[in-house]
Amino acid sequence: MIFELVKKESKEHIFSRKGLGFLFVVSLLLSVMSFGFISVKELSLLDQPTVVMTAFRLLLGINILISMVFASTMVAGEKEKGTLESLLLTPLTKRKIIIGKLTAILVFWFVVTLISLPYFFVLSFGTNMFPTILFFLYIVGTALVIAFSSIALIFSTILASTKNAMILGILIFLITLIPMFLSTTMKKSGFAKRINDYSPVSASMKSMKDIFINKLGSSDILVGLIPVIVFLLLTVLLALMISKKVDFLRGE
Amino acid sequence: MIKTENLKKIYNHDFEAVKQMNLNVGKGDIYGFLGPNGAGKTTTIRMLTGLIEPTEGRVILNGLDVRSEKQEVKKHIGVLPESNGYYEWMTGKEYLLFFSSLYGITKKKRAERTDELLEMVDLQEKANIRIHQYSRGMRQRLGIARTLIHEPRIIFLDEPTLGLDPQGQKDIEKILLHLNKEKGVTIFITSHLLKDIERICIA
Repeated sequence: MIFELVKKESKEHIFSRKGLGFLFVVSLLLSVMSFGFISVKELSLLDQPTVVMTAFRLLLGINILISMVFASTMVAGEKEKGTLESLLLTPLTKRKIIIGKLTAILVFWFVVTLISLPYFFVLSFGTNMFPTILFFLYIVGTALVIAFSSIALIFSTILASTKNAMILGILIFLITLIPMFLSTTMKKSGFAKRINDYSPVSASMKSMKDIFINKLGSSDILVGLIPVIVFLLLTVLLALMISKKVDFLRGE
Repeated sequence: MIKTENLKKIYNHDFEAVKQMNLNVGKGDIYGFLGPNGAGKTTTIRMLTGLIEPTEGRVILNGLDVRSEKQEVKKHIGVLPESNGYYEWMTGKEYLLFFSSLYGITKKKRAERTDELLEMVDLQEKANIRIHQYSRGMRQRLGIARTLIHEPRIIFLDEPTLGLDPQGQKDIEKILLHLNKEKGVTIFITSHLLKDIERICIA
């Protein structure tokens, strides 16, 4: 039954005009970026690890945002359209509905990763970075996409409006991005340091840097990824817990 | 078939939407539930079908306690909510096939049941047209077909004739009477219009 829901969600959000539009934008962005790295004089001087890291950051950032947009519309959108009640009256439990919707977001992410593979292959050509890129795409990237989508789904479940769910979800994502906009000195002091230490996005970027540039071993990398793992577990568990406790029709 | 004991719903600790309701609807009955707008009809249907929890009291459907046996109850009931929405991008046939798959009906039976229901609600010719092109009457008929997809013994309809033209209302009434007389389905129907309810319940 969940499979049927995943199929419906994929058709509605991913293989629809909107979803295909997003996929087109992602591939266009990757093409422009790769072209830039090769043809723009200043960019072509960058070392390959930096190029790959920049491409990965951009791909992940944009896809987390797109996934959050999808997740925000998945429950609140059904409330707005008046389709949620019928769905809740089927043998699907609320938990299964949330799992089905999260799975559909994963389908989108996997389509995006498939599109991005040739680009990363070209950008890392001549080095042994490709297996590590696969690890970051499929393990770290998937974990972050699931975690942030879970946050958006939580808001989508609690709130009756897609817009509000989207705004709150994206706000949380932006808070985790704060360290990226701070100078090195600021990152070392007070509140900014705390965010930098605990932000799953910072942790994933730092781990990538540790592999490609600082050449650290896998055990160090795994320790560095602890914030990502904790964040994933917390958000998914919270989404599943809320799906059981919250009245989906609240606010209607 | 449908029994409530001192059913009560209070919203936000102070608004009493339903007060101590005791109902007893027999097997094969058509039960008209009348009340003005805001009287608590939709809240009652939501409590009867397990969509919301009552503040007090309990609901027994077909011998099952709605609060503790929610999943089992879902197999026995079909519900057409008042503001039922549709997946506009689907065709009428796809819509019914999707819901039948959620009820775990086998692929072969899904197609048969869908065709049978489309014929019953007179939508077989519009089966492959996207729902966004359907009129309000056609949508309501499709909604009724959806409530029947898993062959429930009890159906709940919240203002099913609301906003329909006289012909649309007649079509719905005809379908409901057929279901009740020919198939023995118990029907719980709400409306704020006495005449609508009268026609269906007394027929």
